[in-house]
Amino acid sequence: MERREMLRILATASAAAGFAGFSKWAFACEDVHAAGRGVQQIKSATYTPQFFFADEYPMVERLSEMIIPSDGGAGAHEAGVAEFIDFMVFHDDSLQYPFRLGLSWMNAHSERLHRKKFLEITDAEQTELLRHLAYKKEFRDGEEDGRAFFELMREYTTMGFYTSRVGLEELDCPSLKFYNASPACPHVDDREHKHLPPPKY
Amino acid sequence: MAKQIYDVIVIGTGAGGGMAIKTLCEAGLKVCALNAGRKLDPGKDFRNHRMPYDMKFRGFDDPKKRAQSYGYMDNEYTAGIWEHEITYTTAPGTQWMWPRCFAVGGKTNFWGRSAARMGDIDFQAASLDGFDVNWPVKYEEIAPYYSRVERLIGVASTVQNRPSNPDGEYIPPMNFRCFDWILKSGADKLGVPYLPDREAQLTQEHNGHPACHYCGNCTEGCDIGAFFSSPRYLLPAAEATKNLELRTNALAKNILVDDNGHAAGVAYIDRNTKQEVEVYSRAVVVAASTVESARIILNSKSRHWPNGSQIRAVRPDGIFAITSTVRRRTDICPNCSDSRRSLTMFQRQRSRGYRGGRI
Repeated sequence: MERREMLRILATASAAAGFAGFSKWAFACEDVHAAGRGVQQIKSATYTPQFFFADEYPMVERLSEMIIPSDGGAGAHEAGVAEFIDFMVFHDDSLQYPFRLGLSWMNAHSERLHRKKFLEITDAEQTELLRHLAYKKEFRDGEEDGRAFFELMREYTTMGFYTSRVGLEELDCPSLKFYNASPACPHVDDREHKHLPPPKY
Repeated sequence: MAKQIYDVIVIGTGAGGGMAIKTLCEAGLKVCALNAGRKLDPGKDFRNHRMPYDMKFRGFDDPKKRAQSYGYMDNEYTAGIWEHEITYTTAPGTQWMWPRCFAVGGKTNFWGRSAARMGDIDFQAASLDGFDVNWPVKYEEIAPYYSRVERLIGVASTVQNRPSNPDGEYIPPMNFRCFDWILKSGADKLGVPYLPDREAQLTQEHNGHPACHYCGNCTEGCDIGAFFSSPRYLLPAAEATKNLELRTNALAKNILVDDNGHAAGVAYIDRNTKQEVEVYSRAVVVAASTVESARIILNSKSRHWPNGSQIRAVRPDGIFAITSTVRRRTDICPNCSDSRRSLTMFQRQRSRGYRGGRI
């Protein structure tokens, strides 16, 4: 799904180094001196994970899409959060063990509960499993490792989503706009802001 | 071949250096300016309009580089601008961070734009609290110079009638935003004034510089020059006089003195060729930021100055350099989304490293 217009396609240092690129987003060319401003890195049709194994990557996708689903608008799937997570974990040694361990914990836990791996259980069973990791009131003993991994997964999912274009648009982020004049508080009759409409979230 | 002797060498092109360069060039003197780093190209080096998704690491920067960051201003967006090639050591058991920007213009490329005037509460502070010594000047002597600078650079604020923060010549202030009004409502109840800061940021076009469009990324460098920075507001005027020779990638080593112990030039290392070069002049202005200036002066040992040179007026009419590396982080953001309080070249100097992460 195209989220940005491609300005030009040039061979970049990244491509030469063997990184085939993302499929859901393309950062501007890192080496602006060589390629000029605004040139984007090559976007490939599909993303080949650099760190996660073939059985792990779909789990990352599924988990990120459960944390930020696409209901009512773009979600982690459209934003390519799983690609972002793979990219960040590949470059950060301190994340690699926690992520790998966490994913294998998810599979082991799913087998303990349902005798199947995480991706093989039903949606409802997956949601149930995650609920106990996500919400304080639902915490159970013996799932500490899972909770720690879920925190990590949730953190990187929100990082990946809310730094993407669709994420910033969802927040109606002011930095997507330019202002001709110094922006001013519009609540002229309610300076103490006591009668604001309730927040969206 | 006769060696060229400049009138003045100015070390550093930041707030102090840039002003010295402009003033001296416009007075007709031949100035050689030495800058430890390179010239920046706002079009390429300032990524202030890049969004997180434009950046390879979404602005969080390569994990392998994060440990070297000087703080929130030294991030993926400002990669290549802050100085990391020249390293420094700290005494064992101490923890001290020294953010340096050696590029032309130094930290004026991203300073906090807070440009309040010092009053006698500052100039004559020793008379009030008994610490240190008073400045040798009073506010009323400096006020006309503040006015000159404010007219040159454009400072947005209001008249507030508070002697501790004297009023200047201001362009219209930025508007209060929602949180300003909320804070002001509370502050009013406490009897605490909540007032616009003195922002050296343009709310309207000023002397050919465009007005700000509030993208909020000032600390990544402003590619349109909507706030005062030395390379946009001072150096062009100096270059127009044709009296300036700017040498970049020239890391000053020490000040050379003549047989009378007077400054006679500067020895510097050319960072490109790695060779030591000497340049000669009748006077030297050291404006290389607080710690760096001290380094240069203390390194300038000679039989006249066995402990290193001293800062002193080297001409009878008293040219002296005001250096400033002041960075003091506060969390109040009265006017623009990315404003951080810092002190300008005319204010008292403290040094504390920046702390904080971005995004």
